[in-house]
Amino acid sequence: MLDEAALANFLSVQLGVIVGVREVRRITVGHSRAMYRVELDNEARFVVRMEQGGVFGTSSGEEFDVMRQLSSIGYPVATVRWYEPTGSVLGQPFFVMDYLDAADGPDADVVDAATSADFVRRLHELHSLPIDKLTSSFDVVPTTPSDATHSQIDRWARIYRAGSDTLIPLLEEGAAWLHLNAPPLEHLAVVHGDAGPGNFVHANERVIAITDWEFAHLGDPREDWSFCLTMRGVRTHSQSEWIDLFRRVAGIEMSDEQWHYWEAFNLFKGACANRTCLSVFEHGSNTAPNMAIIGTMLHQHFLRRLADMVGAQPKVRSQ
Amino acid sequence: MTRPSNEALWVCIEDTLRDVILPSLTDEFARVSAAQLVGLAEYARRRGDDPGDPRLIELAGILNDMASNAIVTEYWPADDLSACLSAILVAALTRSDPDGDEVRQRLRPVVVAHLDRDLSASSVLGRPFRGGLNAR
Repeated sequence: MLDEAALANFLSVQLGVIVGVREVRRITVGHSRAMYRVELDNEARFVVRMEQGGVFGTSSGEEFDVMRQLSSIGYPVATVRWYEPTGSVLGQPFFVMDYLDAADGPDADVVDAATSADFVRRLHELHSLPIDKLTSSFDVVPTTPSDATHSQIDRWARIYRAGSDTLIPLLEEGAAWLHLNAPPLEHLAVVHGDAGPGNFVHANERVIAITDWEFAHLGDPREDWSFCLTMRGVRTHSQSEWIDLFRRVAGIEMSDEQWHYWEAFNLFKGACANRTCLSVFEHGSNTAPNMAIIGTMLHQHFLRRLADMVGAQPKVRSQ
Repeated sequence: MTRPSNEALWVCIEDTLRDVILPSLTDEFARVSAAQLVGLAEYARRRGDDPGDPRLIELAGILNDMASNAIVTEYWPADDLSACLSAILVAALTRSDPDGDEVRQRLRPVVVAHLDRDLSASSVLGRPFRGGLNAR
């Protein structure tokens, strides 16, 4: 449970006024971070987004910076307030952001076509942002645009290897296949990395805020379109409906080969990220049951799909 | 018999979570967590012994049988079988010759089959992960 007294003390220091915590409620959605809706005795409401012992190998500091920068240029994200990087207050690093009233609205996965179209518009807007003012927020800044995908493959491979006693042959094969087939990229873009229904707050057919930025990085926007199509968006619309939306709203056209590549990339990323959950579970830094499940079943599921995609195209298409 | 079996203990945990704990919970996060625990208890009860050693023996046997394959002989024998398999699968990606084909057709399917067996065992976790329960 969250240490409410420690949190109240932290918030009092940040706000410059003594406040008490009236209610803390764990928000069920999300596995990479523990999310708590916090209501203070002065009726102010915040969300505390707390790390989970190294889950997914991502950094709250980078996420906080990215959100702050995006907010400063008017992109729809929740306003972030304070970042506590040491873990000395609540046992894990965390940051605090404003609570969005629309988050109490309909199921985040239940999205109509008009809202999805607005999401696609917003995602395309993200990909179109000039990155010169944003690069300082990111831990990995590729030397050239075409290095971006290779950097991400190496990043995820490092993350899984750091939490695994042995190499996973099909994952190593997947990394090599992705390197061999990485498409060139002309312009770097801000990539959300976990884009789609469930990771945006909406009301009245409009996106109020894009959420969950821990996978954000500089890279190829096609990663996001694929992620939405084959992962987050599968329960919302059919693939043909999504592709039509991408084309109609954002002018996105991708070949079958490109869809294939980016689906494999996202499966690789997911398999690597999910593997970290088994490590934190085994080492006791997070013994929650969802960690064991993500680290086994979900990791295996992603890896199996990746193996299928790599096996379907054994020949090198670019080298 | 002087103590309960692991099977009986897991059944006890699973049934108590299902029939006693879960119905009494109203907080959504607690309910989802309890459902996940039911799934983990079911998984722990059904998954069987660690398949690690028999798989290593099976894979080492296949690698020994592929002694005329140039990709295999470059990396095998080795102390670290996982690293060896990784290197062989990676090397085969850029080989369209009979040695590459043999890796893809003879060795890789065994590695994938091991993963399929892992998935078969862990599939009981799918519904509980989302807060549901499997049929008894």
